[in-house]
Amino acid sequence: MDAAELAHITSCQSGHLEDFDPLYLLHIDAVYRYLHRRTLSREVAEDLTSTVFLKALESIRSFNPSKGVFRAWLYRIARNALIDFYRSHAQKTVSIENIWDLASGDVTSLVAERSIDAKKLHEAMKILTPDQREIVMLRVWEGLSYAEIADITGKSEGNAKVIYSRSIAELRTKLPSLLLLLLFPHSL
Amino acid sequence: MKTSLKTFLADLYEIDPSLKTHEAELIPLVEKLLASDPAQEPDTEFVKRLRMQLQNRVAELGSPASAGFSRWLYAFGGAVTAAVIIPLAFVAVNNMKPTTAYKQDGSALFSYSVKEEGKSAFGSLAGISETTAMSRNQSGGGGPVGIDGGMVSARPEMAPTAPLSETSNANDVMVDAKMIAPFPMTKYEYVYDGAFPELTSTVAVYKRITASKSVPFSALASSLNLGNIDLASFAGMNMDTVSFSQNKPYGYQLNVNLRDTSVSLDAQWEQWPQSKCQTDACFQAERVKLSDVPSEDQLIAAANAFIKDHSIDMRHYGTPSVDMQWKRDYDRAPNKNDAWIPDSIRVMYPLVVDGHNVSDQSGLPFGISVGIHVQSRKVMNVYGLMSRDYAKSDYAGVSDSQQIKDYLGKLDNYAWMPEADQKDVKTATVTLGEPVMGYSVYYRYTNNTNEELVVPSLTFSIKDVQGGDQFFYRANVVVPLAADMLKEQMNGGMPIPIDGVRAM
Repeated sequence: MDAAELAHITSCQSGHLEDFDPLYLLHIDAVYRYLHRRTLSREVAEDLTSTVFLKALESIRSFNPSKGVFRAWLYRIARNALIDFYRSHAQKTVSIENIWDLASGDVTSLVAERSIDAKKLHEAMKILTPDQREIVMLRVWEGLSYAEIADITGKSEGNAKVIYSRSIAELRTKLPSLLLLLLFPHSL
Repeated sequence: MKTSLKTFLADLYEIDPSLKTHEAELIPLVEKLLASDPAQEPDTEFVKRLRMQLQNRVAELGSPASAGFSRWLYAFGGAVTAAVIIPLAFVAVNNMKPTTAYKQDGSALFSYSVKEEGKSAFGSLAGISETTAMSRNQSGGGGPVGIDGGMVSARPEMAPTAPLSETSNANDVMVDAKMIAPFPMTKYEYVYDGAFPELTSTVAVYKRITASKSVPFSALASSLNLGNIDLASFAGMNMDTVSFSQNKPYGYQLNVNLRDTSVSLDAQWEQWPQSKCQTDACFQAERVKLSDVPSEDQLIAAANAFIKDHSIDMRHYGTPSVDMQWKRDYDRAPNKNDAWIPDSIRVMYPLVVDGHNVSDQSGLPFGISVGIHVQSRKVMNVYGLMSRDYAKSDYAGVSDSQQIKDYLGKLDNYAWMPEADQKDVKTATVTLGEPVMGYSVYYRYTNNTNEELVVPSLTFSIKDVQGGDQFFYRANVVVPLAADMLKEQMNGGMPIPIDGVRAM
């Protein structure tokens, strides 16, 4: 979190909520992508992104910069929004880890040229446990640090690193079949 | 932000170092895995809509400063009385607290605003590439340059075929594609086979409004007795520029230009250490060494600290990056002892328009630059602080990706050269990476002034160059998405034929 971002946050917390605007511009893409990866629906991702930023705006005073970075705080709100969404849509009990399975039905809503790869990848990633998958996604696609992943998932940084390492090791052992699936989706 | 291939592999090797021996096989496989990210970018309209929703919510929440939330939406609105402006200007300069510079009605001396205009409100966008050297075709070598003292410009892009001495750099050698052959000739073919982002038939173009701030000189003259001339006797004068000097070690000089509404900050050189060298040996001993150069993180931290200390308003600027173009020249230099290392390095904060970063025509960030003196690690200059008031107008957009491919096919094309002379021209292939949607700045010279236009553009990174030579300096290819401009650039920017030069 750089000084300019911190200055905007501090300003918001002192009542100048107009300074939320640059924070929004800084994080909108990442938050949207996070939600889209887990819902595979443009419409749902937009709804949830709106929810996340409105909640963040209203509760920014509760963010403590000494306890973590702003981006991780936003991801935590996004994570909770996802759980709420799936809970309110016929899934009475749902954990963040199972969201991957719930979203699989909407894979075909991706744009045509990417849908096949995405669908195959979706299947291939199921070789990981939901817990492992979440951490791999946060690390590989979101590009988050272990500290941020720990902040979002509620695990310790060391634990997040161990889970990630084990996940990669597992992927490696199953790499040939996984990557064959990814590289030649039409042949399978 | 995706994890890079390098990071991904590093993680793999941490688990199993033996995998490193299979790197050649792993790289294409891992690249595929990274490229299979199912995420999509948010729709531009959605980003705008949500932004507006948040602004409305701020107003509802009754923020003490909620009136100011939309202050950047207001145009400054013509003349401001000296009684208000001058005290505010001095408060702003002395305290560098942007919030104290605002008038009670919510408008600022220097502001950010966007004013909607009707369709095609800025006239035809065709002809821009020919009317000013700063906006020629990117292969034309002109590139953006600083104007009006406040604009941030990228280093001029060297013509792809320009000769370069072993120890020179792109700053030292200004080579224009209009140079007459012979010089090494390479025809670069630009190839992009990937997908395009969603292209729209209408695009929003922004034009910077540069109405000067009218401050009557009489307001100042009445209280300033020079002794040898009666300033108040000059009726009808306005104050255009104000300069301030800080007379202390490592002090600064600050120039406020009310004509183009910009502020620039430079080292007050009398207060900075100067070389007293008289011999080459002394110069060599003092010259900047690679080991003197701070890391990119350190440079950004220094810039951020300065911004914080001086309350520079960064609300409309994005994530900073360090301009490391000099390093490319350094890396290419065969003799590192003679290679040039700059004495200051810029940290760039891109202007953000409509949720997108703005770049110059070479694809480098356009906005505020903070120059860090390498050896003292102190901020040496700040450029690009200015009013960002824009008028916005819809124009026909480039909705057919084939047009973009056609344009890429014509880049760096020597069709102007007689066929007989083309036999010595070698061909190189430049593979372009996935384009990023954003805005880039173009200049139109009209009525003796340069108009700044911010135009939606696609920026392609250079992924690979096969068969090229060491003189290839293009780092990106920027393609404007306003239909008129693309059409014009497709046909313009060609080097002047030899006969034409001789006739001049």
